[in-house]
Amino acid sequence: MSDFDYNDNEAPYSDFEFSDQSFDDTEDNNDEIGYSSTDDGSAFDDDDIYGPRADTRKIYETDHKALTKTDLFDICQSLIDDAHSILSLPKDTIATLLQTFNWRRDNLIERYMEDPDKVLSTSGVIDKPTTFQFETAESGYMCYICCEDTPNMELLRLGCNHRACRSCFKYYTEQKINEEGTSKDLRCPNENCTFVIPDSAIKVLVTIDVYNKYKDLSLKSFVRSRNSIKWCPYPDCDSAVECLVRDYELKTTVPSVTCANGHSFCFGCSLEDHQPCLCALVKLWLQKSQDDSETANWIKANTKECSKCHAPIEKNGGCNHMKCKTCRHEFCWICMGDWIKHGQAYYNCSRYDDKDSKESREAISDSRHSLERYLHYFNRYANHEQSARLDKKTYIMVVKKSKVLQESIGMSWIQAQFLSQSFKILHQARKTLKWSYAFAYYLEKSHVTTIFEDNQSDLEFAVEQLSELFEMDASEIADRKVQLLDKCSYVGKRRIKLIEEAAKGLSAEEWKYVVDF
Amino acid sequence: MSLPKRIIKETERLVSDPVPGINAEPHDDNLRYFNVTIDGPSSSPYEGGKFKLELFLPEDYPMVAPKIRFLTKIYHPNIDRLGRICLDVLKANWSPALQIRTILLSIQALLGAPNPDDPLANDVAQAWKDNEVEAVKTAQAWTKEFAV
Repeated sequence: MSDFDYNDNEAPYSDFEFSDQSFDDTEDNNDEIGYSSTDDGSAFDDDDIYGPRADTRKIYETDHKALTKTDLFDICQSLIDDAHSILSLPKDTIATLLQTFNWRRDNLIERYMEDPDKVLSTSGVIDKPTTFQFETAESGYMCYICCEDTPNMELLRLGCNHRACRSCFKYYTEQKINEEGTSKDLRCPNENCTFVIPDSAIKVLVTIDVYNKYKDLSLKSFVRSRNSIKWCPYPDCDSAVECLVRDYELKTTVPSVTCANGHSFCFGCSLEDHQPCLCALVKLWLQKSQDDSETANWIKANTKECSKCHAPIEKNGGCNHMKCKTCRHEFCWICMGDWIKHGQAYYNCSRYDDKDSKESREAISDSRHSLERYLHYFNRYANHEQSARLDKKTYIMVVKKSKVLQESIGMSWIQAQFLSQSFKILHQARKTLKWSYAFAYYLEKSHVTTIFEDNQSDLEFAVEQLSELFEMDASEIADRKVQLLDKCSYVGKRRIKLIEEAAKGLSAEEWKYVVDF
Repeated sequence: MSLPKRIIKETERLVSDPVPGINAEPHDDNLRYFNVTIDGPSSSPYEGGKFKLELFLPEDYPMVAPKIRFLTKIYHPNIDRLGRICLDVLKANWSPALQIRTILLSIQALLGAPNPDDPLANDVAQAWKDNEVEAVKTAQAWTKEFAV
């Protein structure tokens, strides 16, 4: 899609202008200097992978940058290189120091300038040009770990001067990485020694698989240390996204982002892309729908409310003379009116139109109304969620159809691609619709919500029509390709319209909500 | 599977040069499994008691700590009802440089110096903090009842 055409060659994030100071003010664990603005030799000067530029960016989009694993390694490496050029310590040592300081380079440099010895000792490093070396055992040496005393066996001596045989070191580090899943606490095995085994020593000690795992673990700890970088939440996806949205901005924007593998998700809450609904509302909604929906459905179908105290009551037998267990109010199950006024007409209520029973029913309707309102939105939400799941089946069918089109009708592969592309539009529109219902549930009614709901129903109508077109068989689809494409572009446009209007309202803070969050 | 040299050496030394007040003997059919007896340290509420423990050296020993557990019932804030022990060197502070004998000495020291601020058995730790004199009495009573 054109949203992610990256053809700019100027500074990105131009509406952010995030200097280090402004960042440190708000989030003190964000040391952004390593890849901030472009003028300090930033790590991020590869324009190709920047998100859309601010002036071409739509209101519902958020500046972000997809990062592959290689990108992340490069960022770490450039932080190490930078600190190396300032502190003139070996890169190995710098890497360990940065890990200890949660990759906050400025913090490390500052502390080191103040008291280098303290920084070194608390981080488990020693200022020496060589952090480890291999040597041959002298006669009479016995490894303190395995008690082997084979003559001339290979030993590893760490910067702390402790040594043990190579195979024990290999066993020790592999065990730590594989079993404990740690990249941080790889310390010298000697008792009470805090010296951290350097990266380069691990590299020569362990197998390549274990080393890769070690690097992944340290990458994870790097990403954890950054508020502005998150992993893509999709299963088995190992790419990340950098996005500079701050917590308070989540009240006015929905930061939808796309990772390097094309998965879209919300940067704010790491759930699926939930435009136009705000993260906080999504959380409320999911909680409510998990807790309440089935119960609410059942209550609606099987109970009536006491006209006095609104306790839900299930009638599981007996006559129409009801007595509320909660407030002792006596009423008639049929007309909901006060039982006393039924006089002699026991068990045979014909007072539906009486003033009194009408009032009782109205009193009930308020609280029932809120339940029904919820169910109205929930059922539509659930419907689209289910349809989105069914869409997957349809998708398989679409793939088959496009094969048929290629084989029997002689359509080229490129020409047949319109099917899967249209399908993606359908799927996306359903997702948007789904969340638009959750959003609408929390909106206070006003003229803007009326427009929103009009947009919503327009999109919904178009989506159902498009969905129907996919049910056609292959030959019919080929005949009505134009119609399908028209519908698709209409759905696409309506979807953009819906989220655009919602985003405008969000950024102008026009929406009023029925809940506080 | 042959037993690592390290375990053989440690076992030999436990026999030839035993630690006073501590006895550790491997099982005949499983040389990684030890029966341990620790004497309660003098001038502690456990004085006079002989506490039985089981000790197992896992496959990855000495890269990981031995697994060790009290078999004798004991009233101690850092030892729970199942005999599990809360001790730093058995967890995060384990180092391959430590040995069976050093670990057992640490446990003996733990008996001499209970630490209710880092409890494993919460109720015992609370009792210890609320009324130490009473708690010590209970520990003595348990020692008499279960460990003599």
